[in-house]
Amino acid sequence: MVKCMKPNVSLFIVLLMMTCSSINRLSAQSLTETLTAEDSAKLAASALEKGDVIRGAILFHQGNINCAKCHRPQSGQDRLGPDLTRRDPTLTDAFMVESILQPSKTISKGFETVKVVTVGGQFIDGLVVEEDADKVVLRSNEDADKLVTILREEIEGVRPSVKSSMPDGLVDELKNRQQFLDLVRYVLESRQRGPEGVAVPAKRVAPKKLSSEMQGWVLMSERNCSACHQRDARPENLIANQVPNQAPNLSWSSRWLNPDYLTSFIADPHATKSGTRMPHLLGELPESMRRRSAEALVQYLTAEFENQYAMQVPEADAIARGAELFHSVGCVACHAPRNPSAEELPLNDSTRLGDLSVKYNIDGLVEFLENPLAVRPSGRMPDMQLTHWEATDLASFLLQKATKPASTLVKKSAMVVKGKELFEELKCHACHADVTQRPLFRADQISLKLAEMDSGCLSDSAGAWPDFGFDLKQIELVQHALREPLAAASKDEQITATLHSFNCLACHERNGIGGVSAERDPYFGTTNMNLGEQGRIPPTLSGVGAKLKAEWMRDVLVNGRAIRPYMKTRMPQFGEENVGHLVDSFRDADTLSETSFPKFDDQKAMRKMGLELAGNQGLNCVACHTYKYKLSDTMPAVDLTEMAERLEKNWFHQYMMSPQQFSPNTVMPSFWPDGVAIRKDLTGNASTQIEAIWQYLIDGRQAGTPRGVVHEPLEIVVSNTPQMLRRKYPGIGKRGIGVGYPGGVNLAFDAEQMRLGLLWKGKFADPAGVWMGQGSGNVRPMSRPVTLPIGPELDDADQPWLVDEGRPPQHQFKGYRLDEDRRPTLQYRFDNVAVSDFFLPVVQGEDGEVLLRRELTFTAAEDRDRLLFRIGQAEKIDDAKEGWFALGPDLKVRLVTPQKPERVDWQGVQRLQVPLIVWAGQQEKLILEYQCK
Amino acid sequence: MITTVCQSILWISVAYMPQQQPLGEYWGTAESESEYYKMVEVPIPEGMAVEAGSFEVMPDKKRLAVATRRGDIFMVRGAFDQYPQPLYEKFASGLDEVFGMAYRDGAMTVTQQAEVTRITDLDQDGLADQFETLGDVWGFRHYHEFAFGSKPDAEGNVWVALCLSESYHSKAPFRGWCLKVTPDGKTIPVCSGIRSPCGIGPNEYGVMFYAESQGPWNGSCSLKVLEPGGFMGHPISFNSYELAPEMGPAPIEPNSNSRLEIERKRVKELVPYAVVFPYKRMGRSISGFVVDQTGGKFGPFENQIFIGDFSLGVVMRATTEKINGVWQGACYPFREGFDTGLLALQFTPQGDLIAGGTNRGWPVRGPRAYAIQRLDWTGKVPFEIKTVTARADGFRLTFTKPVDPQVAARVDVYQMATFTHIYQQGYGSPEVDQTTPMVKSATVSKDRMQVDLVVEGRVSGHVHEFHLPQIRSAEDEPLLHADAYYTLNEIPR
Repeated sequence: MVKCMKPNVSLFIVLLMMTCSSINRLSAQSLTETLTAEDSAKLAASALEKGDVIRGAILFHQGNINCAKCHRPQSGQDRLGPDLTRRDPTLTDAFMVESILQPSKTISKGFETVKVVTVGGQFIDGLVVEEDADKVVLRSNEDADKLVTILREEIEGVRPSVKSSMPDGLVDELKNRQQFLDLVRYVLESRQRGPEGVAVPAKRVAPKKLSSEMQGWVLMSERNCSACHQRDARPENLIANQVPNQAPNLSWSSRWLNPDYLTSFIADPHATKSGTRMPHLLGELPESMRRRSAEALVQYLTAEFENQYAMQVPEADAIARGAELFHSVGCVACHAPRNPSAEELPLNDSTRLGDLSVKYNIDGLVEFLENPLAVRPSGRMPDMQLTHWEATDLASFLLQKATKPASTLVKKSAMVVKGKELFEELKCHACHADVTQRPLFRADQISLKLAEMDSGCLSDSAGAWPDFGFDLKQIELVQHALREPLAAASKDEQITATLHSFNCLACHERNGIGGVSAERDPYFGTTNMNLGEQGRIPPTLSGVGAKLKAEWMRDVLVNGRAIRPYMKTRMPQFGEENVGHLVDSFRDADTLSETSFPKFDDQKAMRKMGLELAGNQGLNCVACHTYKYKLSDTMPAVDLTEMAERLEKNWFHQYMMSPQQFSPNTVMPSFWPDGVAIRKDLTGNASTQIEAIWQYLIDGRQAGTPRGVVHEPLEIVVSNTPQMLRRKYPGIGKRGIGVGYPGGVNLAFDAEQMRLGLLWKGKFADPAGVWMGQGSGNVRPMSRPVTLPIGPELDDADQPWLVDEGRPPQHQFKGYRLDEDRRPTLQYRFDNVAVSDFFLPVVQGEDGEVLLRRELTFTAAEDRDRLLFRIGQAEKIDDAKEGWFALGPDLKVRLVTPQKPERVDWQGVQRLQVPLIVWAGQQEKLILEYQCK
Repeated sequence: MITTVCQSILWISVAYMPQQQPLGEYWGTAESESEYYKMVEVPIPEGMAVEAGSFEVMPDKKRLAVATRRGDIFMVRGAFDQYPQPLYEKFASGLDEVFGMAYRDGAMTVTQQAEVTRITDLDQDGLADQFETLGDVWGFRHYHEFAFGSKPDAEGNVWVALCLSESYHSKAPFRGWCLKVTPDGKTIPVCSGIRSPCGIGPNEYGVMFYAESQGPWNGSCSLKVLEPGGFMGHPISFNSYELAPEMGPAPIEPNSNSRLEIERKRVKELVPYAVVFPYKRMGRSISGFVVDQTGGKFGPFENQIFIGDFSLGVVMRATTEKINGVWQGACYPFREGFDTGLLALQFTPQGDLIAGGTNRGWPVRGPRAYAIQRLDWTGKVPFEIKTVTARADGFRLTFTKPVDPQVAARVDVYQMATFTHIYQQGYGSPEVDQTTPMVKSATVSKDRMQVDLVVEGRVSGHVHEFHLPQIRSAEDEPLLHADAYYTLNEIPR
């Protein structure tokens, strides 16, 4: 009959975002099929009536469906689909709906695709973008980003295709019918608005590669020629900014690297590490001498800096995590990808690392990765903002092949002395000044103006000069730069030189140069596909100087500040000395036409308007943008409370009018295409609306919460163990104690008045009212509770406390104790009577009804009679069966112990109470059972 | 048998429009500070909301207890490791906004909104099972009636600072008071006049202080001494004197729109604010504080007070001294750039400083909803103003490194100014009554670690600002932070 709930430990606070999966895909019929079966004209009418144009605009640009990619490409790109904004009377609303649902039914003129059959029997569908006598270039229907070139001689035949380049079933990417209506409304209304004028945004500099002289200078800067040569032939303003790529901190290498590796490397740098910047200095020596000289140098260095290399074996888990990190955080932007055994895979333009396991041990590589600028201050290997553990994982991956026994370097004093001499003789300190703390004297430096063009460093023979291993092209570039010295480099050239040196261009495009290459593209990932390309490809640097505020840009460049949590590739830190100058350079070089901002008098009113626009009743910025890092329900786009700190107002205004002009990959729609507000029903014209949003955003972190921001939903879930929460419950003061028991029965006790306050069935509690904001609300019972009357249950029968909201003077809460199943026994006192109060859910009868049994124990040091325990009250208390009293429709109570309850009329209601006597030294027990609906 | 059913509830916020002053400007020193004090993340497991309100180092010196605003106490292993990957185990839950916690004699004593509670794990299974109410005599009717509890004093008493109702009124017993709760469950009133505390604990001399926030009768945030029988400045709490006959009659009402310096002569119980933190420049809501007793493991600031700020996510330093029987002292910038609003600080056994909190409820600069971060001294000594103390004829400045004696001997490198606040019922106060004192001489000590300034034109009751951008160390470094603020309640006799 009675069964206790089996307890076990665990509390689940469920934090669930509202994530709607594509439920429609699970149903028998797809959304496309359902909608195609309907009347197109009616659907169009329904869209115009019920569609949300703002949500439609967002969908039009959103990553998974991205209509804008083909129908509204950025200027200068070919349009893959017809312009949907053109005014054409033949395009009825119904036709538009039909075309979205069945793209191939009618293909617009000029966008017919062809099917090419090759001699090999292959079929390729696509849109012809170029054709001449030799070849046909198609934009593939399979992948709109892919251009396929087919030579005429390979073509068997070409015939018109019946397939549109717009894929079927795009509508199935939508979540539901409402989204379809939203999208259709946006499309239909953009047709009414007519074609967009071409806004003239940022002043664009024509793509300009570095001149060969500049390339030569960049190369010389990368090879640190100025360590030995005077900078006398260099453009003055380049000297000021461009920091030469200095040699690594050799004292560090001597401490951490494998001495065997150091020896091989010094003996023949180019053979040991292909592509190294370290020149070969022992080239003129015979083979055997080379090795011995290198050994002497290493003996000297490892003795001087106490080499501590010892082989370490990585852990398998760490190797796997490291492989994932290596290929996602940005290592592969510069270095070649690696197979699971960490062997480099060939990829052009990669900075080769070779087999690092012969060079580093884990400690050493971690030390390096955690702070590469300490070892290589010139920042070409930037700080990737790795935690210690991430660095450990990466090192484990890269060094997984470490199997050789630790090198046992035998110290030979004579060689140490010899090594020291060699170090001086070879002028190693010209580059590695940290070893002797003594840079080369300026007087020792050779003028570059007087450099000989085809001997010494620039010759291909070995001799008493460093051999940089230049190839012919590199030699030509250096020669060219030296022959035609520039007086000055332009602002853009200076910037581009820096972008080259630090390989910013591997990730960022600027003015047509650089950007993620096709081969490296797969290594740029995102955590949110809804953001499309913007979610994974680092932003363009074109016009960045007119976009970002100086302090913010500095924070990004110097401190690696990042605001795109969805982008897996990290913005590295390059060091202030190395790239700090870019802040001013960018701001000098990039200009933007001036915007005349609208005037207004009442800033407060503007902010209020901006807040409304940001919310889901306005332009719904919060549908995509995070607000104080609280996720929106679609994508974690850049946080609203950081916009004004980041962006120049002028840029903001112009960007908002025409986002794609500035950021080709963006999924941000314009809500003011052609300067006309989509939401005309909202206050203000385009520029006033934008200004209002700006005024709202400049409050930064203090900007008010827009409507529609989704808070984390909370529930304290009771599984096997009772859960408690002391807070305010409805109808109870602040000293409420809620208990949720397994089995779905819950109570709230009032520790101010010593009474059972609430009882409810089902799920326990939603703490959002007390765990959100300042916590001013109530804990919300998850179903409607039964409310018991205020005032202490136990009191003096003759002189009861006159009940109010406050604390009865003779009652005192003493705490609670949890039993082994973590059920509380509450303890309190009334005057000299101590009460212990225990609740236990019990399952009763066949139907599994859960009752709450309450065991009260009263003790006192002296006899105490004339006590009253008030159980509850109702307008009229009815007898139910088996000893139950019905206190209203939702609550029944009965006594298990033999005390005699009374029903008394009191202030117009009936009260159920039990007279009690407590004898000194004896326990008086009162057991009640509560049953609530 | 019972499956966990995940239920999601959509919580739509009601749009509101606060009209607030902008948060303060950054000091702009975070980058250089990081060279000396590195910020280390103490990660919180995904999906676990840990809004730290109080910390305690457990006797095994391996576990950090973290009590939260959501009422949990976690035992965290690994928080003191060089590269923390900590493990969180729940010790207790269901409590109400824990702002005070200490482990003594096998039990955890916590201060939560409603009471001081002694929590014990009787069966030693790692989960608390007994919760004894030690003291709850104060009224608690409004959510903003926060209670901040100290670590126990030498006698084991927990001092509890009780926020006013809605931070303006005294609608329930003892709101705006400090009470102390003894280990055997007695509660003793200490003083009245508190507004909105956000931290409580001993100063470097073991005397109990609390952190007060800017608002009515408080021109700016300040550290104040909890003097038994004293009055902390906000008179709305006088209605509880009838509940505390041992405290005698209520003080006379202070006049609004006056100056603290004037009113303390009228209202003898009024205790001058010991260290005033100029609003925004030195925090906006000063919070939990601790004294560096690490024996030098945290750098050159041994025995100084380190105090957090909720709004700006910064940690500052403070020093106090008793002059003519009155506590006063100085505050100094220390470290900015925490990711959330700070509520509690704690030194680890290794001598690192743990800081944590939440950005919930009030404007906070840090973007993260909650975080625990640690400052580790890198071993490099920053060049800082170490202390400012009052002298009969001026001030003594000490530094963390030898100064360049030529520069430091010049009187013009000491830019000084003074101001005070209006002592008033209205919210906060502008800085008023500004004066510019004259530095007449600067005498550099033999070890070049201190400079004695003879200053003319000091004003009792005023905050004295020091701005020393030109001072250089013997190695020609500028000061990491060029500012210090001394509250001169009394000029030494």
